[in-house]
Amino acid sequence: MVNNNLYNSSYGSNSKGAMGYNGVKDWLVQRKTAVVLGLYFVYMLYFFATNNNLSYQAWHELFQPIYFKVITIIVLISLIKHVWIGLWTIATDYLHNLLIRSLFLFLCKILLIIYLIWGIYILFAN
Amino acid sequence: MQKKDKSDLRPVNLALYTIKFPITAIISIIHRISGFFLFLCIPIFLYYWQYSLSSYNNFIKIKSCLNTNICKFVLLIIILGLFYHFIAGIRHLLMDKHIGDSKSSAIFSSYFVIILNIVFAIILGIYLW
Repeated sequence: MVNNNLYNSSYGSNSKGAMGYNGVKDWLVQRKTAVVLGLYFVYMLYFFATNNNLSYQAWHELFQPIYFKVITIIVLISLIKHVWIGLWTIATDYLHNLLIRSLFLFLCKILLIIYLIWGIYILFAN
Repeated sequence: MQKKDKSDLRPVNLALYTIKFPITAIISIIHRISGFFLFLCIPIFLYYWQYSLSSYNNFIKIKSCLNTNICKFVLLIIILGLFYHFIAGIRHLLMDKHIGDSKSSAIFSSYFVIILNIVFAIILGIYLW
């Protein structure tokens, strides 16, 4: 049986393995979200380093501009994606019972959605 | 793999204190532990973020709370956990690019991660106190 394809289509993020999905998309999302989160963390370190003895005004003004609210929401979405993949990995590694693992992951998913909505609320209610 | 049938007679050693782990394994497991720890800290971050932004008085309350030693210590632990996960994560990403994935350079980079974290802990301690 000769594979006549010039391009081997069994690699990449759109080929399904035995479980019906593969990990390439997760691997990539984990890296991309890690970069986004890392940049935001570095910026926050810079902010706190340059704003010694922080005033309420400076803190409030940081989150006032709409572009910073948008950036923070993107960071929050990246955070829940990153955390979800990490939690899925930990759950699959250490929780072998299907029921316990499913319940744990279900609880984590709900918590992450709560955190996202809470974070967006904080940005727009203040 | 999922079901443990009676033919699975492989030996199990769960007494982890008897196993000598390489430094790279320590770095890796602490990366995972700090990740889970940070997940548990997310509501703490969100709560204090919300409380500090809500009004001037609440901001001052948090600031005065942060003058106590216990709050400074807790904040130091949490931020250090975040920094550790960040630095070990960068090490992970560099290894994805095959930078430092030989055995000797992996050992070198794990000591480098430890040293960076000690330096950051000292800087953060000076900043907070």
